[in-house]
Amino acid sequence: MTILIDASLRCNLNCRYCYNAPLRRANVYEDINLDAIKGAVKRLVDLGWSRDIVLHGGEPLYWPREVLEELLAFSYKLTGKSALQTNGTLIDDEVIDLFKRYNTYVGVSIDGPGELNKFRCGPKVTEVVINNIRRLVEEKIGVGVIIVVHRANALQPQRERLKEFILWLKELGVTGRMNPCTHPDPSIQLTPQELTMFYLDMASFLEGHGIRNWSPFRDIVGALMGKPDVVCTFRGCDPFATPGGICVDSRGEIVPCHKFADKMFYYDGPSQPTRLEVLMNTDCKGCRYFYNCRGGCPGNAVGFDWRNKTRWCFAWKTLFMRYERLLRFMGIEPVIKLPGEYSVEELVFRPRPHSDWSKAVRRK
Amino acid sequence: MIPEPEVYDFEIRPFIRIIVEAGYNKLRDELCVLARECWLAELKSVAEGMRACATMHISSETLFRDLKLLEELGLVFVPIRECARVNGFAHKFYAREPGKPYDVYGVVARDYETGRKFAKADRSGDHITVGKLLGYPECCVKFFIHMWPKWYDPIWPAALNTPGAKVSGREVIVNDCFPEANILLRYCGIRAVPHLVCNFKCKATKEFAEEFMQFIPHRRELINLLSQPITWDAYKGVVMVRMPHFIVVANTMPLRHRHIVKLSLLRSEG
Repeated sequence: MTILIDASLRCNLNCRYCYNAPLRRANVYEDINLDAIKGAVKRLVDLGWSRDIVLHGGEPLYWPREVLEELLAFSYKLTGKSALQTNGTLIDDEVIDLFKRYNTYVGVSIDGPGELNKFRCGPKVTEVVINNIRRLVEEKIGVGVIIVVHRANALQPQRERLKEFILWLKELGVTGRMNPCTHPDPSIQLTPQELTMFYLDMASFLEGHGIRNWSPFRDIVGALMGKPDVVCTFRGCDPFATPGGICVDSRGEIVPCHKFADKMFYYDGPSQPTRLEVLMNTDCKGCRYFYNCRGGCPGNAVGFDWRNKTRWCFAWKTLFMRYERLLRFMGIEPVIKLPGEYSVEELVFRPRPHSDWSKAVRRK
Repeated sequence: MIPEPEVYDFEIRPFIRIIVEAGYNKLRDELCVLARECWLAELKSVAEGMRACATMHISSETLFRDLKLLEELGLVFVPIRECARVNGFAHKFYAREPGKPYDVYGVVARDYETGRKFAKADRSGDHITVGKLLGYPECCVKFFIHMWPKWYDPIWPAALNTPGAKVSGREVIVNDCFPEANILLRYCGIRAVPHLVCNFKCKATKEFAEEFMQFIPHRRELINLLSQPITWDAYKGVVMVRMPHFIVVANTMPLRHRHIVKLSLLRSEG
């Protein structure tokens, strides 16, 4: 589980597919209460839930610099490291110094070079981001990228440029994630079939070039190996209790991941079997990979109704099949449990037994 | 004509979750207070002679406390059956599991004779007598008999049965409902009447509520809450009841298609 600090949802970009847009448009929760944020994060860390703290947002580098520094320092003091997710446009000398001082891992969101990044920003700004990635690597700062996969970068001929970009990242020693874009606009989002073809092609491409550690491929393998620490997509999230990630908002309230939320609700934790129970009896009934996939992200559910499975089912199932065969070919037995061989309780995230969840979440 | 439900062949285990908008933490306590008062009103309405009987679950874990409460109210309890204790909203009785806490379902009355009369009617499935003893409006009892057990969570039929309901596919919008007949928060025990209403503009229900709410100290707060716009959204065994600052999520019928009921309520005087 990752603790995401959303001290502010403000951002200097206006990405067309941003899932925070409804909350940002409402312009709510913009007064940053640093003490409350730190108190909430500390309670979660003390509970033993996670030591992975990520400054998220919005754009963390767009926050007041003193807020950024205080939260990086706080995270470092608490865990010996810090992390943030940025659009990479606002990295300067001062920020680099902060990253070095607080052992910061930097996730950069970029969908590829030039036009491939058009849903995020124009080519000039994209060039700035690419230069900043290079600079972070030169400065020996840990860096990864999140590529959102959509119609501007996943279809041919743009896909070939994306592959070149990934090869360039490989030379820098950078990997990351290729996340499906979930914006409902069909001019942005891929169809499940297109996404499947994209992932299959990229899986072969990465293997052909000896490139490892890109998500979702590493996570599909991880899920098949029974590893608990896979990408949030396969953690069995319920919309109001998201074991994949837990957010602390500007007021210091502990809220679930708010993909597609138009309101912040209290985290209804520690974890809930509701969605898993629904899916294993309906959409995912009898599925060979439900134990590993858990129905996917509720934010990507068919019809945006979390009681449905993910709309990317076809892509995930195809990848699970591909990697199951590959593992078996390599003589590795995947952890696959068929329906009836496990109970819903096995799929639910369980924190340490002595965790007093209500005290952590329900601040007086 | 209300169609039969198309359902999956599974049931979600009973559960209830109240999801509160961040920043409205006090709401959780307020809802608990109202639910407790609504539950007590069921007993007080019998004790004060408004109606003959009320049903009650007595838990094996709170036996002494519950029986003491009945004694203080001058009520008697006639047991009808044992059933499993469930964490959440139960639409029916579940078999008791050996070694686990359980409930005794029974009837509360002012005297044993009435209690036994109810128990006999309950066991024989005489819903008319049961409804009369509980003091429920006749129209609602008849509607219940017509819907039960296929629509065991009969919100959708009640919406279709409401005069002026605007139906669009599997979505119903009903305007100017009586807050007293708004039973959509019953999953968390909050309601102005203990029965399942035949429609959301039921005058008999409104009259019943006016008397019943005398036993609810925070009746003004209750009616204000029940006057807010509310959406009932049921699908695959899970219902979400959306209110302006919280969502109730609970188990319901495993409907194959999403059914939505939107109520806008008349503001109550007072």
